Amino acid sequence: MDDNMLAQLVDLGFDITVAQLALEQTNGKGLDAAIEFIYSFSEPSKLSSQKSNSNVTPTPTPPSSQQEPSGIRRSNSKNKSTSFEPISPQVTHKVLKTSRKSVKESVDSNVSYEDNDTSLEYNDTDEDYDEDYYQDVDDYEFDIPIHDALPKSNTVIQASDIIHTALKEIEKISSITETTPSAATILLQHFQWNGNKLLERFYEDPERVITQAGIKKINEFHTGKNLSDDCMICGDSLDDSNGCYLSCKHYACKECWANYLRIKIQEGESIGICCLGFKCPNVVPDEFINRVIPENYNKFLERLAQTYVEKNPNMRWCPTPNCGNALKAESQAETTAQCSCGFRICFKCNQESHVPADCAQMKTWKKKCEDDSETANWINVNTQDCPKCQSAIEKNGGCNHMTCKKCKHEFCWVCLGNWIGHNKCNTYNREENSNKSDTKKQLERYLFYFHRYNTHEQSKKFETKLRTDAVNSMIDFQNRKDKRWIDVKYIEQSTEVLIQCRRTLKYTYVFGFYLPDGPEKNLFEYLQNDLERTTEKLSGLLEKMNESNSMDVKEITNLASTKLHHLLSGVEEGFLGH
Amino acid sequence: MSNPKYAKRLQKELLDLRNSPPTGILIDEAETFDRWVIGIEGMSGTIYQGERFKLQFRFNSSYPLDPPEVIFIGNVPVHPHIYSNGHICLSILYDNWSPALTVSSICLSILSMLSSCTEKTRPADDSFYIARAVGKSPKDTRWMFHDDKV
Ligand SMILES: [Zn+2]
Ligand SMILES: [Zn+2]
Ligand SMILES: [Zn+2]
Ligand SMILES: [Zn+2]
Ligand SMILES: [Zn+2]
Ligand SMILES: [Zn+2]
Repeated sequence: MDDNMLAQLVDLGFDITVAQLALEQTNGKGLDAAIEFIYSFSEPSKLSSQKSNSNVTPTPTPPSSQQEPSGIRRSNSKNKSTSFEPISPQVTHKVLKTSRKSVKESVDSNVSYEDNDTSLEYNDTDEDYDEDYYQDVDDYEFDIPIHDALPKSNTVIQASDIIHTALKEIEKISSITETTPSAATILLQHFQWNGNKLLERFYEDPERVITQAGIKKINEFHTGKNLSDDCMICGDSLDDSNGCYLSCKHYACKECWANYLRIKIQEGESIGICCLGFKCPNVVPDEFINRVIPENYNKFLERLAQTYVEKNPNMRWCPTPNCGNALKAESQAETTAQCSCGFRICFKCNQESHVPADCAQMKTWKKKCEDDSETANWINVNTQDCPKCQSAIEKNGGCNHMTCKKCKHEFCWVCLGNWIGHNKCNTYNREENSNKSDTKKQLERYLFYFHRYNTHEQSKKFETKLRTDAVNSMIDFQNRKDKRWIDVKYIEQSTEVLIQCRRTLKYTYVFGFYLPDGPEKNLFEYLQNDLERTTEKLSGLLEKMNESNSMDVKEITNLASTKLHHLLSGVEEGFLGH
Repeated sequence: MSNPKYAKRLQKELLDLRNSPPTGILIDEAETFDRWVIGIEGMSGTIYQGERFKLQFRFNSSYPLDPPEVIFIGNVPVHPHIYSNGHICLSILYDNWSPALTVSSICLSILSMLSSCTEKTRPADDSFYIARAVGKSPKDTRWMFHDDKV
């Protein structure tokens, strides 16, 4: 490698490792080629360092003949680009688009932010934060604002609000169209919950709207009739106090019907609950439900209202237990949405957001993990021995930079290597494992990735607790007079960023597992390692949170955001995308 | 059985089974309302002709609103929808359960499932499934139902 060129690149402000990679990849074709290479896999502004006032002009990514397949646009950015991002034809295994703000940042970890106006620019799409920040902090000009690691383009709606809104809409439509609540819900669903459009059409031609939505005549039913048959469920005789049936004449007593309907509603059914007869397709009318279980009728209506989320392609329930919020994206094309509880969801597969891995990779990966669960079980996630003094160490935090309490040895929890001089533990070493049989090699390779995937998940769990603590201490602080909200807000934001990094790191190991070896993977692993190290640093700082390290925390938080962004845009654009 | 209302139903089912058992179905054990063992016999003219199998029924307090847990015990028939641990992949036992179904109608469904089979094979995922289902109830499995016709 040409040391002279390397020196020049470093002088221009490029990170030495990036520069080395660029020179390797361009086979020393010259300085321009190397620079062009660097710009071609990353947004120009991201790689030029602060200190560089160089005259290097960013090479724009050349237009490509191939366009983005599904017409997904990047949104949520003021400098919204309407042009399509090019995709390298060779990169077949992945191109995942997420909406993301443009970042003007530096990769140089030594950069100081004091006079850095670009870090403020970063905030320009984050209205919420800007307001809070600028209202309250005239005397905090030296402070560092914290960026969101990942953008949020969805709205979060509280569960109670949704039900309330939807119920009102159902009631309105039901009374105007003179239909049952179920029928009104079906009508609304037919019009994607656009009540005005529905009514417009309804006034034009009521019959047609009703038929098109597939609303049938209400079935005849009885809820108290003396019958010669017994209840088909419990065998009780049926009289005028308890004999219930629909037009299909599946006779049962009121109590059995009530138990049956309660279970159905409990299970989340609302529209189209069928008769209890075996394979009987007869739908139970709303009024029948109201008569049989009047005390549960409101619950039934709530279930109807819930379809407002379930049948809306732009909405998802937050999967966090007991959260109950709904997430509404601007369009169906959105790939992720973020809940106020911290959960980030993949809009396509409804699992935890798994960028940079795509949904198909996740499916294969999860299948593999299930199949190999026995083999992977030996990985004991929370206890290991100190590699130096062998004393058992229990992990109780997210940070993987461990210090043995007994012998003070510092080591990496993931690879058990010495922390001093530890700089790369994300690359699976083929050579080291080359003397083993193929199956053994394959298994070890899988375990290598699985172990890291798992460790980041474990860390994320600890760190999610950290975030909850942060939110609690914010409430605490608000009640005390000696601190202002703004003084502690950053802890929540930092833990938030930390969790984003952790989650992404977890899934980088899925992405990496399926990424073929080659220059692209080298670049990916470089960025992954970079993010990993910054994340551990942030995690360590946040665990030892105190008043004096707040500036460090903020700096490292922003640095982690930046690294995260680099990694994801690298993946998004293809590392060697031309 | 803790629910007296539904104990009555089981009592009635038991009586019906005793008095007029369908062809090929026999009560082996029905001392309690928690667990019954019902013997079924492969119908003549089918590949299971003359073979005897035992079905174990476990009822919880919500039966018949909740389906019973039904598995083969002892000699498990070799069938593409029956795992060697006795678990049965049949939708009416899980998702398509209806409280209108009875022990007798379940036995008949299982007999008909046996009768329509033309080749004695285990499910393709048998060893994989039974390894994961150790100590579990088939009701805890999220079944992807095979073609119900076979
Ligand atoms: Zn009854
Ligand atoms: Zn019916
Ligand atoms: Zn949530
Ligand atoms: Zn997905
Ligand atoms: Zn030690
Ligand atoms: Zn390591």
